[in-house]
Amino acid sequence: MGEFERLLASELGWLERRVAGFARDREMRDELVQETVLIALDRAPRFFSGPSRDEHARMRYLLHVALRSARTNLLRQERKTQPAKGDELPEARDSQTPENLLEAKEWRRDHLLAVRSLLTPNVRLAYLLVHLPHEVTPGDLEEAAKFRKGGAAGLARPPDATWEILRRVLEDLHPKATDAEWKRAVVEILRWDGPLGEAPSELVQNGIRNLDTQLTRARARLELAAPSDRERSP
Amino acid sequence: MSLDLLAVLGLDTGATLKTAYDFCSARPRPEALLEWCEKVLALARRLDEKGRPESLRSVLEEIVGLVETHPASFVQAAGWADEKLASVPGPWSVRFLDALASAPELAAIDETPSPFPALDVDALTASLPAERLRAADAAIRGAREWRASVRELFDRARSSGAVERFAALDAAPEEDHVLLERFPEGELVLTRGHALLYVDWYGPGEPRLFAEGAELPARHLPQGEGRRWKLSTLSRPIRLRLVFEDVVHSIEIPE
Repeated sequence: MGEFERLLASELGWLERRVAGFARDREMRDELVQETVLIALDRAPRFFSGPSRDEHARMRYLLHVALRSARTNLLRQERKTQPAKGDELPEARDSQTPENLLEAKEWRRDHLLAVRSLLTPNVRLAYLLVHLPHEVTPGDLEEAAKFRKGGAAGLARPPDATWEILRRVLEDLHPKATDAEWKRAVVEILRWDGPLGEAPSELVQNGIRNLDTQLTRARARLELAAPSDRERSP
Repeated sequence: MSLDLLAVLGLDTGATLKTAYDFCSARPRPEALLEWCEKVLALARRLDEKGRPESLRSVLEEIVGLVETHPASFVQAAGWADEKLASVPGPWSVRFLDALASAPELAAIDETPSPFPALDVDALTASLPAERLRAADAAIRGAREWRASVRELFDRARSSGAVERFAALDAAPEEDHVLLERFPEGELVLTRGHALLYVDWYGPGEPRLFAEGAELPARHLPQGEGRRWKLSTLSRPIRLRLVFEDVVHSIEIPE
């Protein structure tokens, strides 16, 4: 076994766990891992040249960056093979031409994949609830609920109860709510286990402050991580 | 700004990156971690304010990447990052603080078994092109042997000095090199020319170089493609500091 293969073997388990976070199925996982490893192999000669540093940490970092590129490549590929698939979208309804309509759908698909692959569960759920609430799935709630400890907020109610409430407010409140009203509703969905609209104002204020911080974090990650896929080494 | 003040401000990308690698391999003490976090935040704030130099951007990207790939080492700084995030800093500061604040979740993800059956590493590597594998293997071995390459270069400089005294210049190759550091905008290379050693900057701009705290006089490289500094000593280690504007990148030529 060569040096690259040896390092890959020691970091492959980590890569598999990270890929599993946003692979739909085993086939997608295999495809992403394969593409990631090929990209990492391509970049390895330049990346490893120079002074010695912890080579396992370097390999993991190389795989991390290669995974972002692999995700982008996969996205481009899916765009080619699945044009204009899925439900009609709000942006699409506002579009004037068939070209705009297709563009809006493609943008939304790209954006959703970026959100699902780049954001950690709690930040992702906050971002989706505020900006793309119809895209939230029961899986998003379950993942966020897992990470209540250690700095992540988790959910105030069990995921299935939260899902029922979310479905109801999406139907009743979301169509007519202002941005501020919707943000308050999001805070109550996530952080309050009592009847909606009755959360103490201190909880709501703190919750909105936390939500704003999570949105800032999400935007920084989405804006700063995406260009590096294309432009920067390794 | 003086070199000492820059050191106090913590704007040293080389030292800060090296510490990040140290933390990846051995979990740090909380106070050492927080001290390092303050230094990285100072670098991020500098980039948020001025948007340059490019080397600062690439080092911060690597640091954020190391935090995200080794979250268990940085998890103890998550609360500190949460507090700092409340002050709504600039995008690079947010990016670093977000990586730290996400560390508990990422660490938990790394401990969660994959829902899919494990991949067969032999099948995966069997599909990789042999030629590319050889190139990658050579680079990894080269990195492992980097210290030895530096030592050999110094040894050749010393022996060239002896050879020159006997007027037998052909005995050693005229010039050889070892890469000291690669930046997005250029490379820093240790170059031997007969018995003399130089540090060469192949890239744009006019960075300054300090060796053991003293600034070395710079001249242009022969083809005008960068700057050259002559090392006045052959005894190691030598602590170098390459200064781009007001950001230092420390590099050590090892013993």
